[in-house]
Amino acid sequence: MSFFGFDPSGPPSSGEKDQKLDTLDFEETYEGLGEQDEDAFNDETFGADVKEIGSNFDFTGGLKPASKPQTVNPNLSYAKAAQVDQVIAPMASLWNEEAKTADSASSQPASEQRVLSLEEIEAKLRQPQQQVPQMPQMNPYMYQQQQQLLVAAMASGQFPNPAAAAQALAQGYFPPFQPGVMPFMPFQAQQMMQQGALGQGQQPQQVQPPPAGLQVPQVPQVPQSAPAPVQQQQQQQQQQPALQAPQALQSPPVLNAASPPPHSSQPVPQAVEQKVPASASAPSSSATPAPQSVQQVGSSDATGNFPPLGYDEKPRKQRPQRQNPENLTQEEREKLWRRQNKVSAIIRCSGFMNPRDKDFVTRVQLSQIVTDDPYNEDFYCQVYRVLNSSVGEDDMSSIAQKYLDQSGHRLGGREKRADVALQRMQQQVSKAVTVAKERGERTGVLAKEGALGKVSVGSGKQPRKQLVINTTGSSDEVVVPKENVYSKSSRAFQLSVIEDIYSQVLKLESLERENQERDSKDLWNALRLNDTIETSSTVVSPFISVLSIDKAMKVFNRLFHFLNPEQKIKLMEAIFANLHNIDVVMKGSYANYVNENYEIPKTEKSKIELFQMTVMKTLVLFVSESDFQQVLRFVALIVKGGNNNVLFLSTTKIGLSLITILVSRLELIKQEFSAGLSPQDLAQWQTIYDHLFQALEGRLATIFPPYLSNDDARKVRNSESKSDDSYIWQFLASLSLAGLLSHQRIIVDEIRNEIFGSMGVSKALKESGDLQGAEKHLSNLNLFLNVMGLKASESDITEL
Amino acid sequence: MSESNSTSSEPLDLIRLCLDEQVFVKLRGSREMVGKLHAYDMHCNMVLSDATETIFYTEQDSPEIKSRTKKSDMVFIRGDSVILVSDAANV
Repeated sequence: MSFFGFDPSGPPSSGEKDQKLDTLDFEETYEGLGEQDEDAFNDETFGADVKEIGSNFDFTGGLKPASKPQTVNPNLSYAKAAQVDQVIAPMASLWNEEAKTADSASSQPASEQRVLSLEEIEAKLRQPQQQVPQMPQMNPYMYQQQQQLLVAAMASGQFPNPAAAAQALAQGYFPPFQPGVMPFMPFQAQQMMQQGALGQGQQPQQVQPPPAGLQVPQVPQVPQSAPAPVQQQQQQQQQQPALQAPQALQSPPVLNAASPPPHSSQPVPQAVEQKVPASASAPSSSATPAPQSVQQVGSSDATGNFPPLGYDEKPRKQRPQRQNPENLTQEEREKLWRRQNKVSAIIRCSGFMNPRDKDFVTRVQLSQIVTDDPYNEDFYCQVYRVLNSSVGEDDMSSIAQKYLDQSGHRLGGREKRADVALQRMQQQVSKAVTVAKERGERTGVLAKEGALGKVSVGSGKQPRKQLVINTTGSSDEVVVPKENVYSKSSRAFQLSVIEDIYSQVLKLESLERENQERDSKDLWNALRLNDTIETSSTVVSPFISVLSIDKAMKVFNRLFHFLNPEQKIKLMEAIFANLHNIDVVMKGSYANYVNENYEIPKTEKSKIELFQMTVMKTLVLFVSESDFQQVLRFVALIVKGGNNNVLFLSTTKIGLSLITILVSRLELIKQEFSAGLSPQDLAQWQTIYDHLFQALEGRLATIFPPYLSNDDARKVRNSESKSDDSYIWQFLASLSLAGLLSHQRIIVDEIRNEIFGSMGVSKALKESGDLQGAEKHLSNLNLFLNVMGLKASESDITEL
Repeated sequence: MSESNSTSSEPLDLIRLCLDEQVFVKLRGSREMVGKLHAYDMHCNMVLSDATETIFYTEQDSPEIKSRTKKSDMVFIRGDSVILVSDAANV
């Protein structure tokens, strides 16, 4: 038996162990101590061995009732059993003065016996031919008890000599007490069982625990009262095979206590019965019912209130007196079996724990799931709760409710006491939270004042550590093995940069939740903008190189949020200056895929989309709040990259969109807040615009990817041809908006074919009945033309 | 501190690097999985998306090793069956 019914028994059986002890040299060095001093509490400490685990796992912890031998060997005489047990009723012997005086006299022969484990006794019982009188292995108390029983048995005259008495005892007709278990037996459970016993016609004397049981805690009171129903069950099991074997049927329902014991081979001496003070108070002066009851008491041990393992399949008939097995059809019998199985499975472990035990277990379980830092330890659950629960729900009560729901507990019982249960659970939760708070802050190490050592506490999220190592030095001093440092050109390095960023962001987010002061220095360092790494084409900072990895794009918005304004600008400038070096921008240019019919690979397309959704969104937001000079600096950075740079960017969707955004932002400020701008600013913008325009002049048509072009000379059709080309027309619109009339004229000249091509497509679509498609083409075209005061229809271009 | 950050100080750091990446997971029972790593824990329990599981098997009387694949949108791998985790690009 172990705590909480958990069965920790491992493969080694103590029976086998004993046999091995005899053969191992190693054991002999103990000079026999190994045999004598074998800890009788082993089974209680480590759990009894379980040999037969069927498909039905037995959560009773493999308790082996001493009555198992009976089930194993149905040929044993009940009467014989009754005799012995009657004599060895624990109370009887304990309070029997005569027995005590004889104790010392009889102890000698008994102690000469080899000490056997329960398993060994069992084994012996299975081979009745070699019945050697042996004493079972017992703990000291049991041993003493045994002695007394022996003496009592001998005194009763049943056995001619101590050996015979011992043999009878060794056959299992004694209560092998396991005192460690009994205190756990809640009184209610006893009562329940007693009532069950009463209900089935047991003797009332069992209801009263003998006085000894109350005064001396070790004295097993349980066997006196509790095992009765179980005993019945066991007997029923035993009877089960008898359903097929007619001769066994002759034995009357054993449960009926009033009936005389079957196969009574020896008359029960009444003298013994009268020596038993416990039963003396009970109205059991008649010899016949008493032995039966005492046998039932004696042959179940304190813990073995349950049928042995491996007998689960066999049904137990609780009321055979009502239902004669012979009258049942096979179907009914099966039904009954199933029902009995179910009932016994339910009650098998019921009443093991008293409310305090339950509270304790609840607290242990709760302490694993509660935390004073839910967002860091249980982030997703918290977010889920925020998203899905009504506002203002108390954390404690929700945990308590969840626990009750999930665990299927009905602490309040079947009736409307759920609120009581909830209340109790809430108390438990708050207690557990207090305990969690007392623990070391997130380290799981608790150093109590005055204590010699440190206590490390485990939780569900943070298992207890075997070693608690204090790292006093700062992380700077940690010497990392060379092979653990990623080479800067490796992908692992890039990934580790991203993970550093994530760590910093998570840390800052946690601080933000707690409304604490934040310092973005660490995060800024994690970006490594001042560092450089060599990529295949150029030398850039690590952050630029990782910005095209999905998870870096995804974290961009979150990290940007934590930077201070100065850092934000620095980061922006780094991005705009290196726009052409960002992988996702670079690979988005149609110029890379001339040989693939300008088909941009799917993976790149999805990356471009992600970039637009994440990084670009943040950039656009920032630009839309930046002032004129700042935006101007960004454009200048792009233009400074050289004509080729601008030209290359204009062949990419991201580059073109970004330039559009910057230029339109400048124009917007220029038109709406012209008063706030110095002529110097405007002149500077004019210069930069000229640079930009020069870079594109003469090659403006190339901003149309061939697959989107409607110029007959350039156009190529692929799967992308149906996609939206509005971003190109938006770019042209902003370019002409910022330019002078001369610029606009050049633009129109250069893309004349595209304009008319688009009109032609629109016309063709309209004729084929696709009015929507036609309208779309025209409206995109008019984005650009309207800027210059023009308006296009399917057939011609008019002034607005 | 920035130097020490680009290192792995514990084994699971290597798996952390693979978050949101295609990973190759070798499993007990002659199985392999390739998919995008969404989450893992200290037991090497993992959640993969768009995962392809390859199961290797032999027919009763032929030494030839065959395989079949199974696709799952999202799959949970219990850590006790994990033998190896690696960046899918390295396999």
